[in-house]
Amino acid sequence: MAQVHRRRRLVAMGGAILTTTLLSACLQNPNASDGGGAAGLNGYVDNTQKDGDKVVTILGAFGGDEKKAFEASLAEFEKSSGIDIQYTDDNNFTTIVKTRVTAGDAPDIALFPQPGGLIELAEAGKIQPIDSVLDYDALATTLVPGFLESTRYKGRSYGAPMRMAVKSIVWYPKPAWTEAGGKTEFTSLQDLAKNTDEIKGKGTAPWCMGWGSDAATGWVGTDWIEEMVLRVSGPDVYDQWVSHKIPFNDPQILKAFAEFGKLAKGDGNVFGGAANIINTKFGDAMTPAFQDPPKCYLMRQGNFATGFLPKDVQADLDNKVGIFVFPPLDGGYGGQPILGGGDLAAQFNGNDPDTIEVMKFLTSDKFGGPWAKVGGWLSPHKTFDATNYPNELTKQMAEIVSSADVFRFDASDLMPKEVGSGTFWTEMVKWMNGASDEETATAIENSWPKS
Amino acid sequence: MSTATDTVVAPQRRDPDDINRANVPKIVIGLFGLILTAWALGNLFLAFGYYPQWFLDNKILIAALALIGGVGGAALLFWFLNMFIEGLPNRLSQGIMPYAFLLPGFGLIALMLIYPTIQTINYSFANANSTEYVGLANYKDIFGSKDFWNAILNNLLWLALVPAITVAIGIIVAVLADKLSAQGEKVSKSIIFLPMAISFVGASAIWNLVYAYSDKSQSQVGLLNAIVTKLGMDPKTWLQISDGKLNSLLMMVILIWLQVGFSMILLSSAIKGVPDDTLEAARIDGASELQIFFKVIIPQIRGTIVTVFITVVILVMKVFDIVYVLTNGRDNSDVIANLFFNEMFANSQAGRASAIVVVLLIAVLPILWYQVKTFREEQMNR
Amino acid sequence: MSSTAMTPAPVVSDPKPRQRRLMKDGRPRSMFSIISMILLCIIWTLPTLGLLVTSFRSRDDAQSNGWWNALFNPFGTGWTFENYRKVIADADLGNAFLNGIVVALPATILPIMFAAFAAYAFTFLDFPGKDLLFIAIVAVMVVPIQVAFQPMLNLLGPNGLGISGQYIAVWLLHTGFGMPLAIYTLRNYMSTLPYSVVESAKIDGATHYQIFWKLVAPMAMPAMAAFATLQFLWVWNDLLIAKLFLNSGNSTVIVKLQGLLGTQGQGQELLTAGAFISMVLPMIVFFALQRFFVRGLTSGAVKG
Repeated sequence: MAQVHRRRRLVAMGGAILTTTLLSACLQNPNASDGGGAAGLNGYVDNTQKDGDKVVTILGAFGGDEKKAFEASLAEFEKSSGIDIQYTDDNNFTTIVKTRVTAGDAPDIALFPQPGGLIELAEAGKIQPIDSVLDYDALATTLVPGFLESTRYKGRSYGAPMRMAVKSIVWYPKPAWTEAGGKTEFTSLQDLAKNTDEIKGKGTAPWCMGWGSDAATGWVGTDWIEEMVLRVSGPDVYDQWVSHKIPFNDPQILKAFAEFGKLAKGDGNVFGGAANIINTKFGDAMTPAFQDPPKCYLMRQGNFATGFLPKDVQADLDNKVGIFVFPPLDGGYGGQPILGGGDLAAQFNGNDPDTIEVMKFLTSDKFGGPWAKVGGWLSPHKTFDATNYPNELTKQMAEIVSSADVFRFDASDLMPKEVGSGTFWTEMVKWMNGASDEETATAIENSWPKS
Repeated sequence: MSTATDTVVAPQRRDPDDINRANVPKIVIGLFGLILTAWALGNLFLAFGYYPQWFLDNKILIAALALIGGVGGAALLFWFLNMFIEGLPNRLSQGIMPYAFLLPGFGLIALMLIYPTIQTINYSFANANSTEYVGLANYKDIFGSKDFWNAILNNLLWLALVPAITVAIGIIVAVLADKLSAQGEKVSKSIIFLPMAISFVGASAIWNLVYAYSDKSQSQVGLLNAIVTKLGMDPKTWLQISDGKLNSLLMMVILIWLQVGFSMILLSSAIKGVPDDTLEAARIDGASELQIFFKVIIPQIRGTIVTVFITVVILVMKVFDIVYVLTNGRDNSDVIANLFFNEMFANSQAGRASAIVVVLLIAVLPILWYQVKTFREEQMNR
Repeated sequence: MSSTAMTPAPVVSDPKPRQRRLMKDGRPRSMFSIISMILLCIIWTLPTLGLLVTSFRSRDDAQSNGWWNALFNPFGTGWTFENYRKVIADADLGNAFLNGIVVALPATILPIMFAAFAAYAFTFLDFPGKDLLFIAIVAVMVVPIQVAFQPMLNLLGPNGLGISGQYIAVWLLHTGFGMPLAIYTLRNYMSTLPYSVVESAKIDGATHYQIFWKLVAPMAMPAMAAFATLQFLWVWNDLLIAKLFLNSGNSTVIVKLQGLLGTQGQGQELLTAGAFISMVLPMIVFFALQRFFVRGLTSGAVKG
């Protein structure tokens, strides 16, 4: 019996040795470390990377061609300053940046596609306020108004834009639209409606629309509502709406629904009606406008729309396509609002002189020349040298931007995910299929997360 | 066969006296080798993750090393394990050996399936970030939501139709193919089987070209609408029509299209395995071909039918990609797996998402019970 | 079924026999079967054919009319390789294809390695709790893998092992998830092998390790190949695990494909080409291993 016991002990000991050796001798994850300094060191936030080593790491969401263009825009700066900028992209940026920062492995700079995640990390004390490293007042005068406000937390701004996107653009097929009697400049939505009613009277639907986007179908509709909220009630109500200080089914928001309903649900106003709108891929929305004769004319869509116009149109953009700004509403908010987006640079390494240098350059109006030449990029600065833009169309977009009275981020990106990329999309599809304004707004309101 | 064993296995009978004593060198070497191999393997694989630059950031090199390391390492691991156990006194060795062989496989199952299942049940009682218990709130939430019940209904519909239809078409194709010439059978079976190699995402892209809708003033790009308009009707927005669950049914068609090959190929070999003399006997008795089919063939291939059926049922339970890509649950076409995905990743509601999976888990219990029952019966007949 | 034909040889060799038609092996030719099989095959191929044709058309063409127009009027439409060129260059599909292979090979082979030993124990060894453990295997086969995502993201993520995003995370997951089916399939097959062979080897003094490697593993090849085929198809075509556990530089063809579906619409014309590329490898694998597939999967089941 004693022997059996000894054997058992032997086995047990062997097992214990095995497990302890396995656990203790394994590699440790080099990326794991606890905490990370929160606003320590002379009021500067710090990450675990070495300061002053002429290497600056940037994390962003865009890859591929955009990454190439971004790197090209940095090349000259890298040469003159001697700083090596290492950019990594991750298509899962929103999650990755959060986990890396909380794990203490923050990059020097991160480029946020939406302000939401940036504010969240600012609250956690992980981001350097920009006024302590950049010339805030100078930025405020050259930037399109609205950007710095979007990154504000407790009175200080935590990020500055390095790229912008504009959504408030109306596209039209150049020769066909003027032939049909379309105007190219409008003082108000009413003015635009008068013109489109004339076109409709001649038997062709004035508007082209496509909301199809596979799993994300419906986002085009949310953009429209946002445009209308800005025009009907102005940026203050818009901000309250986004932050849920007023409910989603507030009468002011319902007014925006009604305004969009007049345009989208008016008989013969949109080509093909609801069935076609939802089943047409947003990229294909304007294709019927280039048929002979055109089936519709106008499309409201962001500046990225150039990428999926028909090939022959793309080859000759300036002569085949025109744009005008989606006009303000008479009797609503007086000014010209612009809906859009942008990449916001935020700094995680507050006391690294190299990082500050890079931040200064990224957020200045000097950044972006090579990227602008490639196309698809717009500077958030009114003072950016417009001769860098590749064609008249882009120059015109830049003009639209710089003449804007107020700029606002896409609301659905700012709302909680359940709403912004959930019910807002799906309920808009139901709305297009016949649900009433009240039903739709109330359903979205009810889905707003309670906390 | 005996020649094979003779040449393969070196006769190394142990001395009967020796058999009950521990063989210390074997134990030591085995244990030491075991630890060393496990340590080296663990570090090699972790290094793939932590320091890809050690492998020149070369994917192919990493994959090759992983294959060699994984297969060779596992073999080495088992070898040392075997040596260690053989070194133990015979009685102990006999008792431990089976468990040692099971250990790595079961370890992985425990880590990847059993631990997460328990954890998920745990999370289903916690809040959105799994930081605090909230009691039954998540279950109240999902049971109170119309979307959830709609998804359950759809899942039941998928379960009721897809496996049965897949098996039925599989049998029909198998029987028809059996009557063709050898060449014809091979070609037609390959064609039917082909979709099996297509991913759900690829299949969705393919069927987009069938279900697409364009306005009636445009030329139709979708095959189905092209046919419909040729017949003089208006094009339909197929995947939006929830009347009679048409959109769900049309998505089921895709899964059936993908899986019939699998069902056919297994059932076909089962049908070929039905002994000819039983068929002949039935023919002599004057049975019609149809009677033979239902009374003789079907009972004999019942086992295969059940296997195929269960496999497809399990697949249907998890169906996600098709719905996610084509409708993302719009127009009342949601299913449990897609609902889970959206709660989990679009809405970051880990608690509610976990509760949904737990319901799914409970839903598969009958299948589980059936699986265990058949397994038990099989064991009895052995 | 023997070659002693019921009809005289000359009639069979006659190209167009007047009487009831017979096939080479003497069975009667069933027109009904032929016609319905041809119809079925056409229905089954049509969708894929549409994809193939569309992948060679330009975006503008594909948008303006159905793919069959290009077939009926092959010279009236612009055929192009542009989609393939662009999808490989711009969408980084070449790299993703490589990633897919890097992910799929170890994730296919490793579970077989571990499962084979377990299956051996289940088939040829007797031990207490054997039935119970095997029932556990059967049971976890139906566990929906979704349950594993949240706990595994925590375990493999930056707050755990920190390997999420790398290949190893996905190898580990697929190995674990494939394990129950692998053990089940292999055991079913092994239980059809002659037990006496193992028995006599044991009497000759061979260790279990030797018996496994030299006798059982080679004999169980068809089952291993069959499982490998299934597992490869599953890993290669998997969207969820790859989407959640691989970073963008390592992501597979299917994830990229789904990205083309979703993004700002520039990818629509590339999707068809991408989808076709993603199908090529699994088809090759399948046809290469087809021989084993049926044998390996049915031997256990058919008996039941």
